[in-house]
Amino acid sequence: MRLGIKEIRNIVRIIKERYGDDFSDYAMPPFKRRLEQFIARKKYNSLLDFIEALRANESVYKNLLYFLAVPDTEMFRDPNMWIYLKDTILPSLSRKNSNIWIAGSNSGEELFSFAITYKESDIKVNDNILCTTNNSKSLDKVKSGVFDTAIMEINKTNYKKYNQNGIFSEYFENTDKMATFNQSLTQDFTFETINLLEDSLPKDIDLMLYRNQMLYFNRTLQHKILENIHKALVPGGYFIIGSKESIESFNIYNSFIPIYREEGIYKKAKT
Amino acid sequence: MKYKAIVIGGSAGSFQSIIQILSVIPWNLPIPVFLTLHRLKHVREGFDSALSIKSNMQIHEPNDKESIKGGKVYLAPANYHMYIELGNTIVLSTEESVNHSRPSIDLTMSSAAYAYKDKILGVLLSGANKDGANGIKEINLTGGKTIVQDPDDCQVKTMSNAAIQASKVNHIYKMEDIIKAFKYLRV
Repeated sequence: MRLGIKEIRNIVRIIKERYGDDFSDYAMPPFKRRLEQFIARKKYNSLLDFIEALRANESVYKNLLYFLAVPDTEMFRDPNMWIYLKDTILPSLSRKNSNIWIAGSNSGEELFSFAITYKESDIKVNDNILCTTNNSKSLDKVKSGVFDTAIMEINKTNYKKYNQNGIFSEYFENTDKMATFNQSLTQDFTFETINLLEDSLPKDIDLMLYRNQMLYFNRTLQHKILENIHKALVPGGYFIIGSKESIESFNIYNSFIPIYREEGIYKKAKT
Repeated sequence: MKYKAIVIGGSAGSFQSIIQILSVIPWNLPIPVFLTLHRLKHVREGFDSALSIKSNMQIHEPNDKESIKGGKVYLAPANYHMYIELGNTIVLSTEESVNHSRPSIDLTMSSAAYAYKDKILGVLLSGANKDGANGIKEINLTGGKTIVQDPDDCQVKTMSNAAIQASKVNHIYKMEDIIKAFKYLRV
């Protein structure tokens, strides 16, 4: 099914009226494509059938939310970022109990990469580590730590680039086409669903990992979210985005300092 | 104006062809060129400069939400899909691989067809999977022009064959004729 602009706007309006969430500032091409895929996969006979189901049945909407939340690509994507996190950022935080927020993981690869990096950095203080998604189905997936073994080869290759002396296989067990990561890696983490557009966001964040999530928003929404994130961070707090995301053209960028731009690593300015 | 943009897709066996095309494209081409090539996923650096050596146009790996300008070649970055959004903006994405590919030629071409309608030229070169076939089809459906490299002229013919089977392409050209088409391109 191909959706035109009017049809997409209509769906966005219905979601807003019925469920209160606003997708009008999502980047159009991926949003359009995922809507089309969702409708095709669920085998609705017509657009009208889909819209009826979306209105009538909240579980349809929950499934759509889950489908729209783009999964992580792979563990240890961009190994240099993880090396910098382990060797430079985490040790610099280790003098006190820090607040760390992982908001860029919809399927768990990013979270478990963080959990492994954190464990290997040997920090002996009780940091508060918060992992959030925008919907509960994604959160369940992230928490589970279960991954298809088909993607484990690339995860392992990336891990080796990040830590060639490490033993990746000690972090998970293979069972019947699934790799299950040790729950001990994340047992002290807090898991929540959070909408980054809402006012009551976490505060005093020392490190936020939010990679490749703003790709799916247009510039208006990106700016709003950046302002909220800026408020959530402590002065000097780290903010990490994807290597091809750019925040430099926003006004609020004046209050950030690039630390390692090629890997999307920034700090909130101190004044 | 005949075209507002050009999209070129290529995979295995297309690197030399791309270099040749870039060496004949007029330096003052007023429209953007989008280049989506299957490349090593985990080698982020160096590909744009390798392609730039003989190119008349500036080759650039865009950031997300970058404004599109005429006269530039936009190379899809490693491990990101590259879409064209209405209003001349690049949108990058880390969505699932399509045809085992990220970047996927299908996604760039389909979004370009949606954004530029009949004012687009789509070119598909040698390759080892069927990525690009849907993209070429979308360009045909919206009235743009399509050129697919003659399978017999390809190092690996799978991609051309898939595109030719998926829809009625405008031209099936050998590389030398594709080069001519770019050399004498009128937009």
